Amino acid sequence: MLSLGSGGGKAAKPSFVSYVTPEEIRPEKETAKEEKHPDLLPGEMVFCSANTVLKLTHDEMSQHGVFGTLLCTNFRVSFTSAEEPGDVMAPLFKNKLYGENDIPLSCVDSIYGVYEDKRKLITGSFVKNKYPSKIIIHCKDLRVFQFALTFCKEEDAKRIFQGIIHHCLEPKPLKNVFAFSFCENTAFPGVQMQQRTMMFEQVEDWAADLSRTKGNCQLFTANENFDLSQHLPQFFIVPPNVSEADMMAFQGKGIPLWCWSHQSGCALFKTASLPLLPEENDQNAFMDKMHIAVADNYLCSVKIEDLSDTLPPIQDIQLSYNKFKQLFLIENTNDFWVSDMKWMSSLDTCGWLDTIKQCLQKAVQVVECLEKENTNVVIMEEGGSDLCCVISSLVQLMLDPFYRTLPGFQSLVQKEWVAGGHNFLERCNQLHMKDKENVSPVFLLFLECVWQLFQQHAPAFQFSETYLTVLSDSLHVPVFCTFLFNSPYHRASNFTADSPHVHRGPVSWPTVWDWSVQFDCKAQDLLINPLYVEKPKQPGRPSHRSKHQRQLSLPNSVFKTPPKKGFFKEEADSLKKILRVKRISRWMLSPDSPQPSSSIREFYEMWQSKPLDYHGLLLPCLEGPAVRVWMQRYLRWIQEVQIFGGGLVTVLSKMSDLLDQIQGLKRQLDCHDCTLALTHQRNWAQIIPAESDRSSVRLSSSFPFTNMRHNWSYKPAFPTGFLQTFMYSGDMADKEDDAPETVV
Amino acid sequence: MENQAGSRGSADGAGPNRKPWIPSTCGPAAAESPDSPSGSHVEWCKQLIAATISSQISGPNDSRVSKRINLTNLPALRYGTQQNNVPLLPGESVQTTVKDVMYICPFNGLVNGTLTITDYKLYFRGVDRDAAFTLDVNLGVISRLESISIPNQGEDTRGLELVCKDLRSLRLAYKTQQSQVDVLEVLSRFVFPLSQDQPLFAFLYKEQFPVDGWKVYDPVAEYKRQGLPNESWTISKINSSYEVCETYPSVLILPTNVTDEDFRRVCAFRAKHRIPVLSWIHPESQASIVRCSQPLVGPSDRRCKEDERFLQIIMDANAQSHKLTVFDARQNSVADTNKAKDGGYESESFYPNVELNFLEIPNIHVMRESLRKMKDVVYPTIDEAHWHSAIDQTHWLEYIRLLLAGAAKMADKLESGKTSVVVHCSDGWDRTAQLSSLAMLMLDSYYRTLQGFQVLVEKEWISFGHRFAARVGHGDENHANSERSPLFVQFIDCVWQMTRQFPAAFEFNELFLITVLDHLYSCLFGTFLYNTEQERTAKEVQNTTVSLWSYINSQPEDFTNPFYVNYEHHVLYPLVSSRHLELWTSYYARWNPRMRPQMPVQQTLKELLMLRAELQRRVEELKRETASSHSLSSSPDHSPSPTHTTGTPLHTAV
Repeated sequence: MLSLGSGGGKAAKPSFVSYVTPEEIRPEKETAKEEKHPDLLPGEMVFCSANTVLKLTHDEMSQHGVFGTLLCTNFRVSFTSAEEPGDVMAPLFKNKLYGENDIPLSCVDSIYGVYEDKRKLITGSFVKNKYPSKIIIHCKDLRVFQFALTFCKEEDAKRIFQGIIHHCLEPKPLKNVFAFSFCENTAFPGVQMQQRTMMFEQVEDWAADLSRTKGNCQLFTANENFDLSQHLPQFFIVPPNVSEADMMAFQGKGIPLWCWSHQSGCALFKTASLPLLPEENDQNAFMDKMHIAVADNYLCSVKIEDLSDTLPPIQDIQLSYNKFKQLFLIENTNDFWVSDMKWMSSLDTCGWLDTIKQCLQKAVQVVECLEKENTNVVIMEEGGSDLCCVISSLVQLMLDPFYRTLPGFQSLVQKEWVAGGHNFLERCNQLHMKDKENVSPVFLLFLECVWQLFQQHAPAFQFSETYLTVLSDSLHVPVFCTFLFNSPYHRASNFTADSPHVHRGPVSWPTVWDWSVQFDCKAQDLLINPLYVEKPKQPGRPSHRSKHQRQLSLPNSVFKTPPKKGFFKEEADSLKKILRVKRISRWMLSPDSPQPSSSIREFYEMWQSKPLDYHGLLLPCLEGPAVRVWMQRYLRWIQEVQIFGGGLVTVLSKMSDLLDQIQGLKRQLDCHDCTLALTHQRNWAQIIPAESDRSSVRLSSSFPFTNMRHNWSYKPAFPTGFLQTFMYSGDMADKEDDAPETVV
Repeated sequence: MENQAGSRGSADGAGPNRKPWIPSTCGPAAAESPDSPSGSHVEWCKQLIAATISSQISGPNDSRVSKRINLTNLPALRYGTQQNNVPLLPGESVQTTVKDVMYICPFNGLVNGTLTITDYKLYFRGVDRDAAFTLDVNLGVISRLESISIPNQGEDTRGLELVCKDLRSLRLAYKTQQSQVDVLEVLSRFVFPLSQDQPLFAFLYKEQFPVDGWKVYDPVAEYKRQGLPNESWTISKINSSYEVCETYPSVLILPTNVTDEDFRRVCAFRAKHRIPVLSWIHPESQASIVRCSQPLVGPSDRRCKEDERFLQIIMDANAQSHKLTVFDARQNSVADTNKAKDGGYESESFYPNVELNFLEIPNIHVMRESLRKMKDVVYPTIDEAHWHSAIDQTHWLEYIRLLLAGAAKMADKLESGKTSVVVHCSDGWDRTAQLSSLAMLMLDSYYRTLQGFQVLVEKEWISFGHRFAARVGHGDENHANSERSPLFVQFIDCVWQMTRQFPAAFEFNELFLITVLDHLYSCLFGTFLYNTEQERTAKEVQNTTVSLWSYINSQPEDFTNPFYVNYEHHVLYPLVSSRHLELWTSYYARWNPRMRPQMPVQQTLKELLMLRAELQRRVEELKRETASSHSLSSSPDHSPSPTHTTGTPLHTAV
């Protein structure tokens, strides 16, 4: 490692704490503070550091900032300062692994160097001997940091710059990811912390999910040691007619893997498609055989959806996200207002929202097949673990209320993404590979789609918006095993082969679902959605089972447009045609129009006309204005758009308070029931908390990601003056307001 | 839950099937009532649809839902009588009924039915298969009637398009031979009564509300609330007979110590005699918002000593600052054009210590054009592929942003700068009203209450002579009149943007804002009729029509935001970044059935509040019981309810 030695004395700090949870490290933290070092995590070591670095505040291109120490460890780039007002109240939502001035190494998105007012993107082994006066770091969680090196010793500046570049941008082996040294030095209580999340690492989870949905497929265990195929998970479910020989045929490709069964008996499968070349008869025959296997046994039709036909390739997804994120990586106020002027049109041109919409639309199409036509659906693409994962998880989220609970959602991600073999390592480029061909924010795209569903139907989800935001951040915290591998085989091989852990038996790596690794109890409360409407329990039956039975099944007949009758019957058709001629095509949603979305529109309208059931089928509205920007994730760090005393949080905090009161009252009533006598009289005032600390007036719209404000000294921000010149007003502008009667 | 079509069997017309939220004695039913989410969703839709009064209730396919949305228990207007199944308001009478009319619905296709025209509305009810379909459109909302040709259908088929002010267009087709009357002719008689010398329906409406909305605004009481008069400002009756300025209210707040002679000179120097008068005064700093029209400077840079002194007096009335900021709402270039035409603006060199700011807001024609473009984007279908660019090209949100930014600058000047501001545009009744009322909304939490907002509208808009009749064109057929412009809509949109940014700071809800806008056009209430207070007094509007606020204040619970907390001493600065401005789709795109709102959070909150109230009641009951059982040792009639089931909550916190 480049600068292992350079950190020298500082790295000597004991970094080995064995068998304690992060909570127990606290005593050590005190000593750390005196050294003005961040509280190092177990297994973390400092590579290099520099003093008198100026962290610039994001403000008016000013040179205001805070002096402090910038260091680079094997986990993060960190800035600590004595100047930093340690004031404010302890942030309510503190991440235990990294603070607001820490950037986990894999969270670094890009680094710019400013050389004599020229801003250059640093791509790696760039000019080793020159160092910039200012480093700008764009993070994957959309924070932007600016550090001025002009006040440091030249030697320090050079070293920290090269250190950061090396550790953030240069390729590294998997074993150098911080998670390995972190886990070596920490023990996690493990499984029981994951609550009810099904990990789909054990055969029981698969069996349970199959029986929960009453699926009629066979569970395969022959691949437990990856003897059949390295592309398939250890356990998987296939249609009954698929044999072991079939699995071997193309290394597991082309096999329809069961995802979920609808109550009607039809099911959703995903598969890694085989390249269908006209002369390759073997493959064609094999695919046909597989499709027959899916169809025959259920005596129902099969719909094959090749996702690569309709959805953009992952490289395009990456491109579009790259454009989109630029709208939020704001370096100064001027940039902000310039981009603000173009905001609406930039949203369209980068195409990210459209990609989200396309995915949701495709998922609705699949839902329609399952729900309305009771057809088996096989979705496929090359590899079968990118958009297949997006679509299959979305379909399940819309159809099955279990997956909208917190453990349910986590189980879904485990089933479809982790066990399903999504190439997290490659897609997130955790190892900083130079070849970016395989990098794509596919999982983020999925979370975006979930967020769209969430913002339209918040009471249907047990987890909160904050949960989704934090999950998207956790993708880039190199501590969890969840996102570190390309497939179950990849993971298993890294655990067994030359792993140093082998002597410790099954390694208890924290998964991302182990939220206590990142947040304390109070902060974890914010991951729960106060608006969630829990299903009233049916006495005597396990609740999730009954949920599933309550799926909406629409009679086919209602979808047919009723034939029009009456006076105009004979004329209606020709009238329609005529009306359509003159610009009326927009007026009539004719069923025979070539619009592909018209059928799902009808499906949506049908669903919408029923009373909404949060524990039934859930469909997203996909009209233009309904697909929005995930404000919390993208705008939380931008000062200019923080609404002090406003934002949705004011509503949510009121809900939470109310719910607390209701819980209190219920407890009181329950307590009554037990004793049937009221011994102590309690006043309402005692139960109702006086102005809780989450009082809406004090919060900003970026809550919980920014600290609360005590005072209200807040100046409104206005666009800079020169921008007015961009404004269009047209030829009407010069007209008098009340033209007929000008000045008296 | 109630989602399944099949599972509910005979639950058609299910309204009565709904259980009350918490039956008072029966615990289990309370906890497991299937009622809440789905039921209240319908309830909400009902409210929203009711607010629009005209209602495309549901598609012809689904009669179940539409039966539930039954017009009788809406928060909307009570219908007195019925005639031929047409609900009528008190005072409303059927003019004609036409059978075999086809409604060309852009969403549901063609609907056959019967059209009834009254003197207030157009009521279309589907027949046979479409029997559940009704369309109820008040005539006031119609901007123009246009016959559309439907060729090849024979001479007797006529097509009619009703272009509405609220961003929709309705198309009807009918046969002439079948009906004795000509639909177009009857409609135009009642849609445009003013063009026929007929009274607007507001003068025929006979509803009696328990609350009298005309009492909402009493100017003297409102100024008293602000702490006026004081040593610098006086309540003046100089305009009591509208002689000084016919477009101003009779009660004005003017600086003390201005002689009548000076006053007349100032009047002469301001366009339409709209002199600078106080609208609002800061309770602490005494900085004030003063509104007026442009000074008649003209190309030769005329000066008026009295006007200059007048502004000096206004500045001096606020001891905290030695400056005065004049906000000219117009674009600088337009103000210059006006100057060439005898209008103008205050020159900083003639008015000492005055700072002049142009807010660069385009004029009413630009705004009208912008809304027209928006209609193309949202109706009848939403431009899917390039939604954001399409909205961007209407520039509507850009103008909203300019208005909010302008008002926030004013508020900031007052609050942080402790400086008085003077605001004007050309005549001081359009952009001036928008800016002053928005700034007041930011500065004074009173205006964010249901009552206070009504006062704000009555004061800044109605009494100060925003030309509602001209801008809206009530009952007037000249749809192309260039004086029409959606400035009040734009103002309400700004208010809506603020309620979105501060969901808990306003006592009224979205339904209230939509209702206000719907009755801006409906001509059902007298509130928005005529251009000036003088005209309203002459026509005795208060004696002959009903106020919109009578209706609102008779059922305030429907228009109240359950999240409201009084941000009493907080100035609310809305963010003027495009990232936080959004198209108000639940108003502009509400005719699209796919854009119907999902159940809003408010509904959940209302339910929780009810649940809390119920639990509190039960705890109180138990307490009383225990108390009495201690004293009497028996309480047979109130046996404890089986509350163990409350352990399964409908809503759970964590």
